[in-house]
Amino acid sequence: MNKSITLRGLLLAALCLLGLAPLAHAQSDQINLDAGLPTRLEDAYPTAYGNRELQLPVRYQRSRQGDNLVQYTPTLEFGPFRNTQLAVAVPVYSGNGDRSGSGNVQVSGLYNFNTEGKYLPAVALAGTLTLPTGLRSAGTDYNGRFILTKSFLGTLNRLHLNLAYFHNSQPGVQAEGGQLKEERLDRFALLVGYSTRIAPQSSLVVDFVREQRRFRGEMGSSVEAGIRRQMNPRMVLSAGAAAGLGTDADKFTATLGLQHAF
Amino acid sequence: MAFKFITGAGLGLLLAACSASHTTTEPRKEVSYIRGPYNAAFFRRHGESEVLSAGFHFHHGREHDVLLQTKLADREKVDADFDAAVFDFVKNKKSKVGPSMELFGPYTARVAWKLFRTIDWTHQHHEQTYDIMASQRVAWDKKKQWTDRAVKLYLARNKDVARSVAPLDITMRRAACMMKPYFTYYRNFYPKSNSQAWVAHWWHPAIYEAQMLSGNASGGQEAALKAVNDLMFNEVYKNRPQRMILSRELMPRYARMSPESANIFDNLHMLHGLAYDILSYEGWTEQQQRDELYRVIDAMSYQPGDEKYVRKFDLPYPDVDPRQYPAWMAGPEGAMSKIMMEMMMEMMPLMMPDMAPDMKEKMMAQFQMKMRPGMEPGEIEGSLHDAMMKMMPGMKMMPGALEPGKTPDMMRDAMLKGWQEKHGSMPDVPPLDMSQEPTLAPLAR
Repeated sequence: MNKSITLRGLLLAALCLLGLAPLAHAQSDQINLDAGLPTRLEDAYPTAYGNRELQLPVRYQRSRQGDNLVQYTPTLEFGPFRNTQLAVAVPVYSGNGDRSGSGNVQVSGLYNFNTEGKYLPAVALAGTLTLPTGLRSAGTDYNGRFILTKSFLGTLNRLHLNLAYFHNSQPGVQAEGGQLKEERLDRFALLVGYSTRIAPQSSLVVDFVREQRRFRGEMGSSVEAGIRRQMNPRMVLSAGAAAGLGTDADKFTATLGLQHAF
Repeated sequence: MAFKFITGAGLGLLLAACSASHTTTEPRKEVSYIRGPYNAAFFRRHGESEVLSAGFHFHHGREHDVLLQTKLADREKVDADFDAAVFDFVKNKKSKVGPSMELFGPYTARVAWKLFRTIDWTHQHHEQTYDIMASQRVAWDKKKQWTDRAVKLYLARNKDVARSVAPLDITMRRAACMMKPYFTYYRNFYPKSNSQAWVAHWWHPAIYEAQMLSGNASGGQEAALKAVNDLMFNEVYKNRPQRMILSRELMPRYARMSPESANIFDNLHMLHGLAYDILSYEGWTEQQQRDELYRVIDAMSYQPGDEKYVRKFDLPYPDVDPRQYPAWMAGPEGAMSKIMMEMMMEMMPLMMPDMAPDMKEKMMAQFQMKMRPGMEPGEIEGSLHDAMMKMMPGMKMMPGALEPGKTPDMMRDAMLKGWQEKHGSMPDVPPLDMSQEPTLAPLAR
């Protein structure tokens, strides 16, 4: 039952994306990586000054315990100043997995310090404030991310490094399998990734994530990969998948994403 | 603990990279497109033409890296291979979407980012103006109004990289690069790749003018653009232009409607050529090449007061049909060579005040060969400067003429004075009456 609900959700999301495609006519960029589109890796470059963009990543997640969760994260991203990006998102979850946080409002920002030089990487700082407007949420959480992007070999082969810090202002306790699991107050994640153009309108992104998971004592690693395709001058579609390594990470995730400037 | 170590190592790596870098950091400063009811109209209405434009922009972006990463000794093969690659990209419609410069020129993006900001922003302006002409949501008698708005916002939103609205006659004199050691390198050493650029610079104005001829009605623009595209493959590629065609020659109606946009167009196209000259010159380091690129970008940028020169050009072919390719379009002589010749004549008294008539004749013969693509029998190899110096080793060079990033002020001032004397009092090119919409027959089924 739950599986069919999840599959139906994914199918609907895909149809939504395809249905929107012919209408799109705004500006996006296949090589400009945003977290969740389609992997969690982010590059050091913001959206252009004056840009407005609607994003809709849809992420299916299957846990080690066999729970299914679909995350829809409608996002409005814009460039209010030069080298600066702001975004507002409201993730909504469905499925039989843990839906805590569904409906929270997230306000994010990214500031880019420089474009990369011959030796110097592009550097950016990003952060997100999560307001507890959603399901089973309490306290305002925040996270910060330090981002480096550097190309090599005189080509568009790019390496990215994201170091992310998450703060949970009111860690809770959850019962699972007869055990009480305690949420972490602070946790870190490291993402190391690579992106490149594989065709005039398509780019590939692959990355490795090592993270402290939400509950104490759990560490996760995953390998993610995805494709981003520039559909027209204003729209990028993306698709990706991730496989968890070890016992704590999610078993599998799949993502479809749309970016549509207007 | 591990995370702290990784954090420290990451920051250490960054600092090490910073200290090893001999290039300075530049801000990214990308600017989004200007919003209007016409956005993406050209893409939707003329997708086949957008594909060709994407091919030309592949040439423009990729060529930077090809030149910067190629040894001049390998030029013949590189030139032939790149020419074939561009033709394949254009003919076989490899991309439906016009690329940014960085997509195919990532190395140059790291060496001279401001060059790509300049080109991309001006390409966006051209996209805007094509869209306005293609959009049926913009009535014919409102085309100028929307184009003027696009020009105004183009100049205002990205001031340090916007191209000048003054004609190329003025901006080329400001840039004063004819006696720089790189000038004519690209056309002489990479003639096939250079002629790809000149095909592109024929195609762009031909498309504007085809839109001007056909009006807004369905079918007419489609037919006119198809005729231009067919002409390109059937005639223009087989007998490529031997010079950069200017907007005044091939898009006179559009240039009358929006001389600002037409001049921006010429100024960008000349910047492409100068950038390729600089990047193919091996006498300077990348840092010096960047200094010179940025000097040229600044010299040809919009400067307050440029508005008064906007309509100071002539229209040699006011009734031209862009669906035809007569001999005058293909030949080396035209508005561009006229500008170059004038500049040469303005500089010569400074550099060679006592030149004998027979030497002057030989000099001018060399000059004309250097202006044409490729190497001809009797042509001295190298730049125009190299040829002049070989013929007259005692030629006086102005301060700033040879150094990267420096402007030969005396030369520039003499040329601007020369333009003022020759053309300062010329009448403005007349505006175009946009109240009457032209119509053109649609394609036969």
